[in-house]
Amino acid sequence: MTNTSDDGPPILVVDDDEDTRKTLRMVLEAAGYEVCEARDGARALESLREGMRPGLILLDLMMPVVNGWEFREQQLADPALADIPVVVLSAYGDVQRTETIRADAYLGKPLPLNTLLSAVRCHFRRRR
Amino acid sequence: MDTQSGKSYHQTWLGRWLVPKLLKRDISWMGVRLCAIAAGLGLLFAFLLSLALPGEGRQVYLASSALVSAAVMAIVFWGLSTLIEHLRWNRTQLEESQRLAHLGSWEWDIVRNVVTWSAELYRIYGLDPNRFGASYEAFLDRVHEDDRERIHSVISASMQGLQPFEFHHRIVTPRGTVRILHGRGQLVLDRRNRPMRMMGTAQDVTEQQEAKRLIAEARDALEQRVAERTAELSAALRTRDEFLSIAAHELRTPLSTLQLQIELLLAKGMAATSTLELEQAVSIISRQVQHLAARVDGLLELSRFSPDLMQLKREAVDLAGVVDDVLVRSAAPIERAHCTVELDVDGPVVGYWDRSGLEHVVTNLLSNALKYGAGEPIDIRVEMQSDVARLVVRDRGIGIAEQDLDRIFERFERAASVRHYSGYGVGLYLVRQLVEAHGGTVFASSAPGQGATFVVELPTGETPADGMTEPASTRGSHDEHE
Repeated sequence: MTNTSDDGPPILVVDDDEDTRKTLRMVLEAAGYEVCEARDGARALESLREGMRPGLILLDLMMPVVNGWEFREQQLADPALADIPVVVLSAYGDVQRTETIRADAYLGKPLPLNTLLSAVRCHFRRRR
Repeated sequence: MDTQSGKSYHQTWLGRWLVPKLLKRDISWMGVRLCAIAAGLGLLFAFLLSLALPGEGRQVYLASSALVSAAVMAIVFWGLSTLIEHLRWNRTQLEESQRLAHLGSWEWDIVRNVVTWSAELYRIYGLDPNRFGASYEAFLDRVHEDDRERIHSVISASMQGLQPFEFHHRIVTPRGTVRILHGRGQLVLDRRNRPMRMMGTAQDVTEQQEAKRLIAEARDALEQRVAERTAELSAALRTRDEFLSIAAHELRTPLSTLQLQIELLLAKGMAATSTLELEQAVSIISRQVQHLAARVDGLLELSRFSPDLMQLKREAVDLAGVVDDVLVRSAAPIERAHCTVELDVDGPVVGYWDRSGLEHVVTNLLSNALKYGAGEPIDIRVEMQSDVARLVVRDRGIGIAEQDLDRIFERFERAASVRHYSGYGVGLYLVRQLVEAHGGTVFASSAPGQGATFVVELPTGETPADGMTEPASTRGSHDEHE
């Protein structure tokens, strides 16, 4: 497992399934990242507006209250949040629909561990 | 009807030889007459000559002349009568074929303005030959008034352009019936290329036209049915495709967690993994495997519970007991949804039902409440009201819009949009199938944002012949009733 420096910003994991969040947390922490969780788009936006600035957002699409598309729309509409990189991680099958989300990368589930980690490494942005 | 009057010339030897010659078009009848006159004059001459002969010779000569002339006349008359018979036969043939084909013929002597009609044509028009003065005007009179102008202009154009014509038109018989005729005509010109005669046919095609119309109608109806059926099929295919993509999503989600957990363990290695981490990982793995299994079962259930195959195995069942069992088995999902369930029961609620079907109904309603009413309490009530068992499941979740209250029970329907909630969308469909197979009803009442209440009403059903026994605590007891 590669280690990155511990003082970087966290990765925000947004997914309505608890086991998925737990698993992503375990994987990312083992790779040296700090992890925050949100169980739907609304909670994620709340945390961001309260001031959290993750280095990357791992975004699921099918969620209650505010789903992945709606979250991304609102994120892009807010200049303070717009440049936080987003990697979509979803089992949703309609490729055309997902491309409309304009994320930095799209990962389909299920996927190998290494693929996930290289995508994270590639798009994670440490500020200052 | 004397249809077979006359004989065809084919029937006698003389006829076969003589008549075709007589019927040949290029026989000059003037020539024949001259020959007859010559023969007559010759005989006369022979007779007069014989008068000049003496005594005995004359008698012989007279006798043989008489014989020869008699023979000649016999042949001639016999030939003529054969010819006449043939002609009569011919005409009968013609009339018969016209009658069979419903086709009449006519001829118009333009110069003298005399129109002749065949017998069949009178019959087609429903006119009496003795009383109908056949003329062009009289013919036009019988043509349907809407077609008259067109017919007249076609015939006039034909006479001017010296071209044959063809048309369909309607006529009105004296009795008032309308028939459709297919008419044709052509001109016979004189030596100066002026119209001398017009001749033609008219065929009654009313039945054929009617048949054509019916065929066209049937074909249109068929095409419309095909279009409708195609639309139905397309809609069904779209629904199925939507379902398949949702099913794929439902299977991929637990698989993904499984894969990541296992690969993480392998990557870190047992040495670097603490016992706690291992426990956590294994419990997640085990849960995901169960989820997968449940999803796969869900897929299989769809075919098992299709309405044609729905066969209930009825036995004495306590609905309150079934609800209790389901709640016990669902303790973990209830906790994970951060819900509490309050069960309100007065006592056993017993009916003659399919136990596994009821379990399925209760499980489905519960999981619906957990999914859409997460984080809020759920109320379940089971009661009996005058021979009808009632199950009420109430959640305090996002609720259902009024126009969707019935739609959610249809296959693959989910009132919340597809993009928000995953899930097959068949749970409630099956619930309705099962409840209605028991002769019961299920409906929902709700308003957006105010939670939803699902009510199932089940008639207790017929009891077995030996009376209602105590509800069985194990499944095996249903053997007694068969």
